[in-house]
Amino acid sequence: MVDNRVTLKRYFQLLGIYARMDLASLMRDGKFMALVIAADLISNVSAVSGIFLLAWKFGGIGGMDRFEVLFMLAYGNLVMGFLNMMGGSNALFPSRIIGRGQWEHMFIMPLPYGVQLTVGIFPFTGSSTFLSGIALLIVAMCNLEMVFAWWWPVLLVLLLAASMVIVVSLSYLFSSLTFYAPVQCEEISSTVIYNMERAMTFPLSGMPAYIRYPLLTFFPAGLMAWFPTMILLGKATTLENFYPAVFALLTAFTATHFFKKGFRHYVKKGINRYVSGGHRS
Amino acid sequence: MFGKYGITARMSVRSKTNGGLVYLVPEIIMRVVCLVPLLFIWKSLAERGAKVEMTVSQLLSYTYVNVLAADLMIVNTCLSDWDFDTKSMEMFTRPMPVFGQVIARTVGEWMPMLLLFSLPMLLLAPVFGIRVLPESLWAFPALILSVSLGFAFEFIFYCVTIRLRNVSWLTYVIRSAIVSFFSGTVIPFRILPFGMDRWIRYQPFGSLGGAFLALYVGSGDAAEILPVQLFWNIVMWIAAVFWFRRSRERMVSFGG
Repeated sequence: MVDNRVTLKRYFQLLGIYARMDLASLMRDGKFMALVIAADLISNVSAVSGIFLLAWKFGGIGGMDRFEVLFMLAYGNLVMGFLNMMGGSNALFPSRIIGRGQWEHMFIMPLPYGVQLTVGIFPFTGSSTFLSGIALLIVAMCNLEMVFAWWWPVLLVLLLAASMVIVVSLSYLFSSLTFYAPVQCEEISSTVIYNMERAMTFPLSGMPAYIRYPLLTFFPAGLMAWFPTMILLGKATTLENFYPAVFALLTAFTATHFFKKGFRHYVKKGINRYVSGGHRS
Repeated sequence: MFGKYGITARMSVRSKTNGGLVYLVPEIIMRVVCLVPLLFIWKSLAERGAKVEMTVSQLLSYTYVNVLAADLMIVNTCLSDWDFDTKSMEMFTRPMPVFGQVIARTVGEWMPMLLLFSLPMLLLAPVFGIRVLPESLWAFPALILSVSLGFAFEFIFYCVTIRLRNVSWLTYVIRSAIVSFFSGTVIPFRILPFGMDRWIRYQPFGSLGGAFLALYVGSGDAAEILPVQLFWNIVMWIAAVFWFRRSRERMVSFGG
């Protein structure tokens, strides 16, 4: 039996291979590279401009001032930017892999699933949202009237990690359904993630509890940007500071349970979505 | 003559519902989830006494109708889908014009959500205190022109995909990002700062859903909006037809 364990050194080698391939795809011609950079710039500016322009015009939204709103948008960009950069090869959208019958391709690869899913990074073509998030965060921090304690960057990293775990867990939780209904649920993870990405830009501060609580529990878009922003700006209670981490753990465990359950069903039933011409049915 | 297009549209409806209507539920839930916070943003601005160029009632109607008619506000066809699914290749194997096929197919794809989401939400609007009757009947020609322009943009962006050697994802991302802001469907042009509304409505994307919504809620002037929409329709359709003819032979597709 082939030993498919991967050492840390091998893991980083694989990351390097994908990074080189990504760089090669970007550098294949100057025109293409210019277009990608221009497109990234336009799309990132457009994505945050709507809510920020509203905040600018009205001096803030729902109890958050202009730069607090900008901070929140930057935080959201960091979360989704990092996940998009690291979750290439559809690792962030497992329902596509499952629904298209591509998980079976992973069976024959001499690498564990976790490694296959996490090494397919796009650090050059997929980093624009992350980089714009950093830039917006710096602008927001420079204009916020608060003193940042030494431990503040640590808290930022921990909260970012919790938000990312929540997004990934939800994606895998909903993708579990794809094991049972591959065609119908092929895009369920993108439905969840794209809508969460959209809803995360809403400042929830001025909203009533019956809007805010569902967005922090059943559909936790509020944990992707707004709630962590409140914590980082010192506007949350001590107990509330732990909520994102607790929620992240709970969703991760739930997702793991249901994904494994779905996978057991999948290995018995399988899926065949390819027609003889090579295209999907 | 229209029979074959009707059948294409019907096939398209079935392709959206062949797994059962229950699979449309997540999308319906997501639309509602994204609608509610945006409605409350307008309400919270009004409660703060912010000076807005539109009334709260207009803003609520604007957002509500935009979500109800989301598919028509910004047209997305199979052309913006990935070429991996060979949909574009299939179009050339059928004895029908490509333009007609795409339009029929897209109209068919709209139907399930229009019937299962938009219609019930339209009937429920008075319960939420939202006015959904149009302020001006000019909104309907504006809707036709904005949908027509949306199809023209689809073909233009499809040509961009072909010219960029199938980087369909990149084209899709650029298109979605540009259109969501510059169409004025999410944030009405009238309330943008820095006097942006004076010029932003004249750029081509401004004649998409935002133009219709402005007339629908009565925040725009038909005499100003409709000629601009007509102008961009003529320009963009000429560009789409001409460029598609020149681009289609460069198209490639591959399995995925």
